[in-house]
Amino acid sequence: MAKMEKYVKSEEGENSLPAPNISSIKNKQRRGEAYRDMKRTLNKEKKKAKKRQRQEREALGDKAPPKKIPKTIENQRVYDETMVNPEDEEVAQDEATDETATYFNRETTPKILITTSDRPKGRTNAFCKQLKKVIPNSDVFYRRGLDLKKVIPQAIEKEYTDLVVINEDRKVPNGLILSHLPNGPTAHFKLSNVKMDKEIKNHGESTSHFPEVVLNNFNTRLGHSIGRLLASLFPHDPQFTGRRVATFHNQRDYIFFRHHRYQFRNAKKVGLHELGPRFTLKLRSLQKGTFDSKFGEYEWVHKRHEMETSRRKFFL
Amino acid sequence: MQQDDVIWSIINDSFCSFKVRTKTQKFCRNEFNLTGLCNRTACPLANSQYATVREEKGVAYLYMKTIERAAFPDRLWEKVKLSKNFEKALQQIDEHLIYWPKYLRHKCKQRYTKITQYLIRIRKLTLKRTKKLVPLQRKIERRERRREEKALVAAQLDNAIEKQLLDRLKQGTYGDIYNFPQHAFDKAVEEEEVSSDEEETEKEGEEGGDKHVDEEQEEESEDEEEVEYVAEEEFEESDVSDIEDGDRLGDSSSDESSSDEEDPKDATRRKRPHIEIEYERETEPSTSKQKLRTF
Amino acid sequence: MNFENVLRSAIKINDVIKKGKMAARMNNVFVGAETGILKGVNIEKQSWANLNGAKMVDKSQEISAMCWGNSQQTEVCIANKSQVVKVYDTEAADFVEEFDFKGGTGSIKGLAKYDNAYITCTESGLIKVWKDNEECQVEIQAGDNINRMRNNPQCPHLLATGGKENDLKIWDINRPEKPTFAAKNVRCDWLDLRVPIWVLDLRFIPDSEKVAICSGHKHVRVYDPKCGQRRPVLSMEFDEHPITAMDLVNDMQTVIGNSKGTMALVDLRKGRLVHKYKGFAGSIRSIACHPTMPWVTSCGLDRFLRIHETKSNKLLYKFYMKSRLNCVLFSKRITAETPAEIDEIDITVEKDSGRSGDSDEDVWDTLDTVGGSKPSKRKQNNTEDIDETKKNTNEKKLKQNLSV
Repeated sequence: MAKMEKYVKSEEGENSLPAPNISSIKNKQRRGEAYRDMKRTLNKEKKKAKKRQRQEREALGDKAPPKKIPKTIENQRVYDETMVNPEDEEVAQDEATDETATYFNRETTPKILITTSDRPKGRTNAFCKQLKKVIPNSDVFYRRGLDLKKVIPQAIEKEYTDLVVINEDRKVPNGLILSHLPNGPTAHFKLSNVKMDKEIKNHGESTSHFPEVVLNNFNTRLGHSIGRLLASLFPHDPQFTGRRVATFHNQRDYIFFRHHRYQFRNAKKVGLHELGPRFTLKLRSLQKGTFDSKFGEYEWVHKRHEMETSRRKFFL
Repeated sequence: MQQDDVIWSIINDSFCSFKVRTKTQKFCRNEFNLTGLCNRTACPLANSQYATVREEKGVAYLYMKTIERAAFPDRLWEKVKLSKNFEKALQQIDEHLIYWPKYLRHKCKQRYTKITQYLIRIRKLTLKRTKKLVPLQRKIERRERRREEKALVAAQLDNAIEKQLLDRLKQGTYGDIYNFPQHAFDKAVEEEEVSSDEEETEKEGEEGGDKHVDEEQEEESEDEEEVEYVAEEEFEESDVSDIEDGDRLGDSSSDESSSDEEDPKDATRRKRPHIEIEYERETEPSTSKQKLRTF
Repeated sequence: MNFENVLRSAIKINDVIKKGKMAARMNNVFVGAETGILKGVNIEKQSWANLNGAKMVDKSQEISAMCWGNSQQTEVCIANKSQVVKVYDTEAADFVEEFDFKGGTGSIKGLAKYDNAYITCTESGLIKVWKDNEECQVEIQAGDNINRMRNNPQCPHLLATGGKENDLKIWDINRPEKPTFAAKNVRCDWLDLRVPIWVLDLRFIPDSEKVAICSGHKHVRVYDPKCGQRRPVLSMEFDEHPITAMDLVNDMQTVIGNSKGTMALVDLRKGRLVHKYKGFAGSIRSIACHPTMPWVTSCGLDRFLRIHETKSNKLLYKFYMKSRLNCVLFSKRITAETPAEIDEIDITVEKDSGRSGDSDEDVWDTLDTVGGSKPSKRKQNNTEDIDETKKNTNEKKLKQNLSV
């Protein structure tokens, strides 16, 4: 009886839409039909409204009000007060005396040590080899169950500037630890969607030229630190003749890595040919010193319960 | 002893709450059991004279049970702390279990040995590095995967990378390896015009023509492979290279664009085999040349 | 009644005056950063400023210790990595003095002021007393690897030091040869392994000789020299990461912060956690509790300064400071008295309005009693602070108005 009333009421109304409370219909078939009808009518209304708007727009011509900007997650992003202002003196000075500053001052040239967690399987080994190709001046070493704390002083002696450890779980690489030596920050990332070059369709062959580095969207203070850390992996002077570019693009706290060869067709168009691996990183924590999970001091730690409360809040 | 047999016959045949059966073995879950298996000789319930070694917080104790105390369950087990010294502890076991069945003595000592060994192992492991296993929550993983896909779509990576590269090209970070942008060239040309016209026009008369032809060639071969354009450039410039390099290198002031563009080209050129061909300007009159002549 | 309105208007005028004076208010919280910059935070205006220019300092002048220069808390002394101590005067809003206290190696880990003399302690364990910019005879060797040195605010001649593998030692300046109390390590653990020592921060518990310590091995310990045992009276473990900062709320509770950004209120009598504070992303370097108010401020590597309410773990203020922060000092200048009084005055006035034909003296009596009462906890919403002096002017104005 109550349902009949609802239907009746809606017919009396102007819109003549079916009762909004479709979920109270117990019969699945009827409920499904009612829902579909509702959707259909709503879509029709929408289309009519759009058409009307378009006609109004055309009618007004120049005087038409500007188009509304659609809401995206990026432009609804919660304001982050740590966004870096390029003219900020204090931040500039902080970065100039940073641990990664020695790279940017050209005092050190990057030399990377790539290793894995214990007993790596096929995919991880292949990934390490590909990383070696992407990052010039890097070496891959088998872990042999050594303590990272013992590896680090030895690496510092041999003048390595960075240590990359790929963590493996269930035969698939799933974590990346990037530690700048001798006392630089250590970033721990979650690694996902790793694709080797063979798995990419129509991939190209890499060369040994020094690549260019593109860092997109590292805007906050934390993003800046991570961006600098990633940039310090690559040699200072890219060889533009090689036309290789390694991109780290940050979108909603996910860092996408791509490796391309580019070619300028003209001033307005450039063609990209993908080479090498692609993967996604998500920052889990940033430690102040070298890797020391027990006694290290964390500069940033992802705390799920405190930080994942809003879908519009991002940290990088 | 009679009681023991009776107990055992009951436990063995019907039910014992400490017994765990597998396909091949019977285990005893009783905490005082010496071996852990369910046997007539190893069952603490069915033996009124029994001994075990147990460890609590890193200290090993010898527990003993005798017939005399069978009626007093809370005083049943006598606890003796064993020395931390291995040999002394074995002697202590011997001393306390003197006149006891050999089986119990032997098994107690074996058990004590195993306990000390695993304690040593724990000490070694705590001082070494340990892998920390962090459990992943499926819901969180699923959520993050979904968000990553959406972020990937929102990122429009190719467009972003292309935009960056084009920005860099406009800013001139590539020096002058690429020569396309007409407006950039115009800018460069205007600069030259502003700085020192006269010097330029003399030299540029020769160089500029070539440059222009380069550009034309480039514009024509826009859609073709870069390889071709390089070859053509080689093709043209070869005769001019020897004579005018010196001049160009001499021009430092405003002709940096031209000198820059020549240097990498020189480098590439000299590496590759090139053909020397005499080139005559008159063969290709063009509007751009007229432009050149106007200033 | 008319004088109600008069009262209210008087209060409003007072508010205006109050705000005017607050504009010239000094900072409530002083923070020292890793880049060498001293920052002052004004809580009422919710703003902060660099008190020395960003260009004038560099990383070698990283601020490693801070203390108050005098009991009125108008002078701030900062010690930095290159063993230079500077004094900043809040009234003059400028750095007044600069001393070069060389001695020992490493940065200055502890700074205290005693009787016009500065006491500095460097990382290598050398404690020196400097009077009038000259070295005093007093020199104490406190062992290697010192992480923190503090003096007892109630007996400023007592110092406590601690560091990595360097357990708590309490020194008396007048007797520099031997510590008055040297702590003993706890017994070996269940595996018979020695428990390592790493003192990261320590505080003297007020109204007693006890000292509380937080260690890099997740321990919080309390030592009592009077007790007779050199081992800690209380030892508790907290969480999984080194505890890098602590401060005492009162003699029973302490706020501790660890290197992963967990800050918690811990009860020292039972060794239990009371509650945790939320909002941190990075290691906490320094914690300071307000002497009278239930506020606690903390700063750390995530470049934020946060002020929480101690009892309810609510976050009150958060400031982004752009550099990693090392030390924090909380001024006692904010007090809760007058705003609460004003609220109570309002209430009494309203009550009085019910009665008609009240004599002036009755109202004045009630006003007087309000002035003597304790401040209420309504302070949470009210961030204004007013002096006793202003309250007097308030009363004076009322009296003047009424007399007319």
